[in-house]
Amino acid sequence: VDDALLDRLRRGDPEAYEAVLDRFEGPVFRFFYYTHGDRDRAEDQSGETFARLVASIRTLRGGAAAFRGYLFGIARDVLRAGRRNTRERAADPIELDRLAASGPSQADRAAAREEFARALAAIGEFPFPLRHVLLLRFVEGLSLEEVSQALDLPLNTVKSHIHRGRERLRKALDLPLPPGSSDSEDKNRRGKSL
Amino acid sequence: MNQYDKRLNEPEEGGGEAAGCEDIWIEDQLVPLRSLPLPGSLRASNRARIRAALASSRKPRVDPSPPRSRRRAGLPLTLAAAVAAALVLGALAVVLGRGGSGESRGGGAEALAGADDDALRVQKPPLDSVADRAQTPEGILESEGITGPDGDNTSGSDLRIATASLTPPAVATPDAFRNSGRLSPVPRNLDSENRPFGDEDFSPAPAAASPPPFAVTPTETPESAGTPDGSDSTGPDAFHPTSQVEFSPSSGSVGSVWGESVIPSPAPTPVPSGLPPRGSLYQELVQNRASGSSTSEAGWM
Repeated sequence: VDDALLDRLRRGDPEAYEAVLDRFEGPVFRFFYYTHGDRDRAEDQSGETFARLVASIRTLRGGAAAFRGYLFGIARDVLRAGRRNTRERAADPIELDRLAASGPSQADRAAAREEFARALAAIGEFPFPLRHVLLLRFVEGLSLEEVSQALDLPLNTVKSHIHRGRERLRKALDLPLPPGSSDSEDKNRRGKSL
Repeated sequence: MNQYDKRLNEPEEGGGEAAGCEDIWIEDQLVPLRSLPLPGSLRASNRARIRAALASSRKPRVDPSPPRSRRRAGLPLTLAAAVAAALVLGALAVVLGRGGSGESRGGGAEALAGADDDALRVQKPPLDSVADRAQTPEGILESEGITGPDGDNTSGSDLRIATASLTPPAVATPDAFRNSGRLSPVPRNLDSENRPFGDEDFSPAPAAASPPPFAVTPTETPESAGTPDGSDSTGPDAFHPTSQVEFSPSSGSVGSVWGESVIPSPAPTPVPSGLPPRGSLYQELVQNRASGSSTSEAGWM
């Protein structure tokens, strides 16, 4: 998001919001989905996030550089607003089947399915806000400052979360894969070799 | 050089080479999460929400229905104000009614003490006219023609209200009590002559400016006062000269008042020259002697 796009957003240009959807629709949805594992809920919360963005875009300070942190900050507020009824649950197995059907070849689809399942199982072991720190930092690619802005955490706290995340992720990846995966032992050896 | 090796050579924020390597390793472990398939209806729902938000932000903010906070606070506030106003008015009406129909004057005065002065000032006559007229508040009311709403000016609540309102604040001093004679205060101090205030007779003093409507002649002095049988007495049968009315049928006069004779409608007679103006006391005596009638000179000569 550059300054020109930000000006268009502030003027209420629908095409500018379409560009924002192209860029941030998936990250915002994943942020919610990896928090509670409910697709319908994540979809509704994504829409609420963009609606709040339209209503509050004029209050954005810091220019285009702060847009990503600002957008995920809205997502965090939406998540907090619906946290009372949130019941975290395990990953939906339907997602694994969809991943298996999306690969170019059967081997690639199997590998993608297994990697996704391992990552999903690993991230599910992290408590909040460590899970969000790792998601925003390593899945969505936000900088440390943007993560600090989005989660309303001090920068040093974000760094300490990342340090602890490394250790826990090592231990998490040593866990056996979910039953049914064919090459779980191979993937475990691959993870240890890294 | 694969992607992993390329990112190893990039500078990493917040840490050295080891930290950068560790972050790349974490990213490699978590990056499969980006491949999460999105719902087919996600784009449509997000567009709808954005359009709705844009439409609401462009409309002028006219909120037909107040928010819950205003609905909760506004209506009870209006009702509370109305109820409070009704209670105040009701309490005022009760206080005024109780003060008017109270059994004791003190109750009415207490009620009136908290009432509005303007409401009481309407019934308060000028103090000069009060002092110059009758001695009792009832008399004042009767002479002033002050009546209550029911038309009765001799009793009832309105009379008590007017009685309390007619008491001027200046009467609160002992001298004022003694001079006015309209109240019987309980003396608590000595007066200006160091006499116990309260030993005096605070009965209404005779008003010099307004004589009684009928003639009263003091035919006996206090030294000769006594009972009709000649015995001196101070009891209830004592003879009170001030209440004695002398009737003189021979002279045709009813009596005398403070030394004056009252002659009922004498016939006009020619007045000799050199006499005082007609109508004077001397002229009346001359007229009586000329007509040969005996007057009650003893009453006043």
